[in-house]
Amino acid sequence: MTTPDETIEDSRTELERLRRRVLKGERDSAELRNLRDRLAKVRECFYSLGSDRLENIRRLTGLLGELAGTDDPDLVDLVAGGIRAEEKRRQADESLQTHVFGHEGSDVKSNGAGDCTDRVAAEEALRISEERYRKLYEKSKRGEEIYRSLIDSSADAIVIYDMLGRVIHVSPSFTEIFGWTLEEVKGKRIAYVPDSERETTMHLIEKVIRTGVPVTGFETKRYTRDGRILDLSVMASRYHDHEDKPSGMLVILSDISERKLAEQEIRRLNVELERRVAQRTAQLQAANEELQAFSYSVSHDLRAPLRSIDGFSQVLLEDYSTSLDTDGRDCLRRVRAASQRMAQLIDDLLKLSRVTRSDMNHEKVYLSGLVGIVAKGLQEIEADRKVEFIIRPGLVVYGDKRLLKIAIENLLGNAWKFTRNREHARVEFGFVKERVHGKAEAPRTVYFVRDNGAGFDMKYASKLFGPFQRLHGEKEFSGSGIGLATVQRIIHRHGGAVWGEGIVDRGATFYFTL
Amino acid sequence: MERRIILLVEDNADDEALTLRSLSKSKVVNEVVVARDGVEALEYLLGTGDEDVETLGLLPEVILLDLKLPKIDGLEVLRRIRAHERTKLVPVVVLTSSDEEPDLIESYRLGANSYVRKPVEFTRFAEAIRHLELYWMVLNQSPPRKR
Repeated sequence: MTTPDETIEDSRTELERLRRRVLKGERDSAELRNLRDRLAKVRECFYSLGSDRLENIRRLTGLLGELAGTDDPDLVDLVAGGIRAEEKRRQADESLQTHVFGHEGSDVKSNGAGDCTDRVAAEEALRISEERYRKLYEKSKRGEEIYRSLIDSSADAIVIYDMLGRVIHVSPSFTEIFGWTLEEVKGKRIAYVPDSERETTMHLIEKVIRTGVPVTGFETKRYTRDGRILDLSVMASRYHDHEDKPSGMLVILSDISERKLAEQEIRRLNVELERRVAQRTAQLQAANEELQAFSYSVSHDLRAPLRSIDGFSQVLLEDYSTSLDTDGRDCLRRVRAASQRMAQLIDDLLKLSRVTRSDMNHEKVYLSGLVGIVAKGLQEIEADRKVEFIIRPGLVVYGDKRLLKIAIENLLGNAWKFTRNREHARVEFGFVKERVHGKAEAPRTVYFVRDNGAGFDMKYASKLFGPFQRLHGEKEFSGSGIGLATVQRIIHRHGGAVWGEGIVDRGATFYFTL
Repeated sequence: MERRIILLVEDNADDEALTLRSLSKSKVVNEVVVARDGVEALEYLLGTGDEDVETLGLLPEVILLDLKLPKIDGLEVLRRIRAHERTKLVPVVVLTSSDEEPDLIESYRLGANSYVRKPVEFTRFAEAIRHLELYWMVLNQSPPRKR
């Protein structure tokens, strides 16, 4: 015959084994019955234990607690049932005691001394059990409260379905957004999937249920109770029961109607913008092509008549000079000079238009070097002139090298030209740092070309950059007035600014930024 | 002495007169054939397509080709000259008012041997024509002929 201690030890081993199976989810009803019988046996032993039973009780209650800790509701029930049974027995014992003490007197009392110790131990076990159960209950209750408050305070609509697609719970926000109350839909399916969304929705549900992989950001539409259609982003996940068996779906529906509207508006605006850009581009292209055709025509057709005027004037001078007097020959010379000048103007105009029409090719440009090359070129053309060039070295910019060279050629060419009458002609290239008024940014670099030549009256500064605008007489300094207009177009095409400062007979300085 | 021909393709009568005047003033005596549009030029060089190539006129030593021409423009004339077995090696000098980049590029791409912009100033124009005549008719060696 086994001792109570051995029974408890056996039970403990058995319970431990069961517990492991429970944790693995392999428990079945037969084993649960087995467990229940075991517990009953343990309880039986529990009452027939000797003086060291307190320790055994502790071991037992610890075991019960562990079992309760599995979160298996059946086991928890079992433990609770055990506690309830203990409770009943305790009450029964107490009433007996009361009865004994109250009515039977001292002999019962002396006989019951052992029982009394039993009771103290039982009560202790009970108390510990109760405490554990209560804590567990409170913990799970708190957990549930947290979840509930999360669900209830969510701005997104939350629906909890069982495996058959029937509603278990909907959040208050669901009612707010869709109109149906929990009472109206509980245990039912919600008929709010539009036909157009049915297929994708079924596919989604099937996938989530089958694989257990949550889906997020699924965009779809749903009806509201009053028949409106909402755009939604859906998150769906499978949830599981205590045995880790899929038991339903949790669906969070975010109303993205406003976002969809905004997206539609953005799309509409984009289409509109693209249409406008295309329109403008076409207009610009047409204008460009027209300009191209115009320049081409000017280049070909405007020069030919001038060649005739000049050519036949020359023929007259050569073949009929004896028929003409001095005045007549002078007239023809003037005709020729005018036609040649016009040809020059046409060429300059074409050059200017080419500056505007040409493609920009941005690269690193060694500006100081460029200035040096242009200065050298000028000196080679007019070797007899002595002009001192002071070029600040090491200036590098980012721009179209070809265009910048044209700009430098014009600026230096002007400086060269207008210092013609200086005994000691000086041309300087450099830069200054200038803080843009009212702006906290780093000061901008302003490049300049300075000469000590003829200068100009600041009164006419506004006319400097207009095509064919000249501040000096043709006899004084030759030119067509296209140079600075060209410079300005080049600088503007680089997003920069250009301006000039001058004093009559003291020189001029032209500043530009890039 | 063998006949040596310059083919001048020029639609502008004034330019034609000035060019001829400049050519005749030079010491060299050459025959100048003038075609007044692209079609005329191609008919001279390649015929209308019906006749035997042998009966066609003498190939020029050089063709002075204007670009802006009625009917078939100069670039197309150039393209057809280069495409045809008979004329593909004949030197072609583009002689035109324009110095627009696309004209330059296209001319050389199609196989022009030279590109000269007609100066407006007549003295310079006459000089250019004389230089061309001297170079292409005297200094330059033409490609060998088949006949």
